[in-house]
Amino acid sequence: MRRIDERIEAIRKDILQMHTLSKKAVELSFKAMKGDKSVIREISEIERHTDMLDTDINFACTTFIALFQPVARDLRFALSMIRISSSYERIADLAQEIALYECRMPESFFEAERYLMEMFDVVKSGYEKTEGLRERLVELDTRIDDIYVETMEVLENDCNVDAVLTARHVERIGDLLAKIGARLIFVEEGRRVWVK
Amino acid sequence: MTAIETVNLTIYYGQKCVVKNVNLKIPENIVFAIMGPSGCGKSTLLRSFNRLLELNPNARVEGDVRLYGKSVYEMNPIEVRRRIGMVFQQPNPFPHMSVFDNVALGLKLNGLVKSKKELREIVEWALKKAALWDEVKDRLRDPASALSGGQQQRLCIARALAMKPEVLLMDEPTANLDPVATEKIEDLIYELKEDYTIVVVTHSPSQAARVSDYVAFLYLGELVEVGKTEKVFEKPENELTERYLTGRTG
Repeated sequence: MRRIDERIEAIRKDILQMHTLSKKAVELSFKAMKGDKSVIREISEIERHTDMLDTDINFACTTFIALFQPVARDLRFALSMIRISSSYERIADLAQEIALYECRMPESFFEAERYLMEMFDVVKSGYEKTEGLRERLVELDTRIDDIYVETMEVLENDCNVDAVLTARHVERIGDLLAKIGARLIFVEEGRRVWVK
Repeated sequence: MTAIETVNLTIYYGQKCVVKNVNLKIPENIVFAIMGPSGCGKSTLLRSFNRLLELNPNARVEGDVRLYGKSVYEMNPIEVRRRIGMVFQQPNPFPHMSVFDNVALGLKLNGLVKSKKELREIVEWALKKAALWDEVKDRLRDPASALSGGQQQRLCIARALAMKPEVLLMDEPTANLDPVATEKIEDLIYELKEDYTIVVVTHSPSQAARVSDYVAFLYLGELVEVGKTEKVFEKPENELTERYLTGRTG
């Protein structure tokens, strides 16, 4: 039993590192959006790091399933961590792309940063307990969706593809965080929920 | 339709209560697994279904076991055991009898066949049904002891099937077999459920997961949880079941 618990703990530790890294990448991408392009190198390093961690987590989960044939919570954990890891890896990808775009976003768009950072914190709390997690994430993701819709209306007559993609990516990061939350609820409670 | 039902079933060995107030409904034509750690009462529960338990003078049964709605205690025990066949943990063919006679014996003793031709037909049918025919069709006169462990277990299944039971009880049927023989028995269980209701006792959660449609978890004589196998293995309702399945009991 100790061997199983040690493996679970190692995977969990890597996932939490993915969480920290992808949050940092998103934070830096907003800096880049505001004009500080010096952060691009750091985001690229984070992106490479999350790629490697994603591969490691996939391998660790696969061998855990193959060697221990987990069931119940352990199985839900192993299956979900593969998906969650890939979501974090995708968030870092999107953050890197955002940083590379050359565009000016409407002032109101930057409010999304606060909601995304809050979503990261709410998701992190979901690793400890999932009570009320779905409701909180729905609320925050809806705000980000609203900002996206408003931004698209502002950008409607502006043919700036980079700006449109930036808005789309930020909205997508919100979706991915919501999906991670849904997976954490599945691990903890065995319920399949849609956050959005 | 419910094939087997237990109603407030309680079993004692002397003063010791080993099965406590178990209420179960086992639908027909499914594989129903009873799992639990050693000594939890699962084999005892199984043996109460076909009244095999009463061969133990120390055992006392309270409550009821029903076969298709009728109490097995209102039926002739011989008739109960014909309708509810059993396969044991240790393959137990009659070692000095031939492969053919092992299957034919029950039919002859119970006067269930009218001619030698009919006897041959039923033996062949039972051996085919037990997925053994192709391996023994040229060795029908060989002693059963000449067969491998896995073949002996399938011979015991053929012997039980020859009696045309409605329910087949299996008490850890692969406990003494290697992985290849185990897989053959598990495949056979899967095929047999089309025609029979199968109740398998196992201490291996992974085997219960592989072979059964429904699973019951027994712990210290109490029925802790019962439900569809997929459900129980993905999200058990009871904390104790979760701990057993993930190897965290004790």
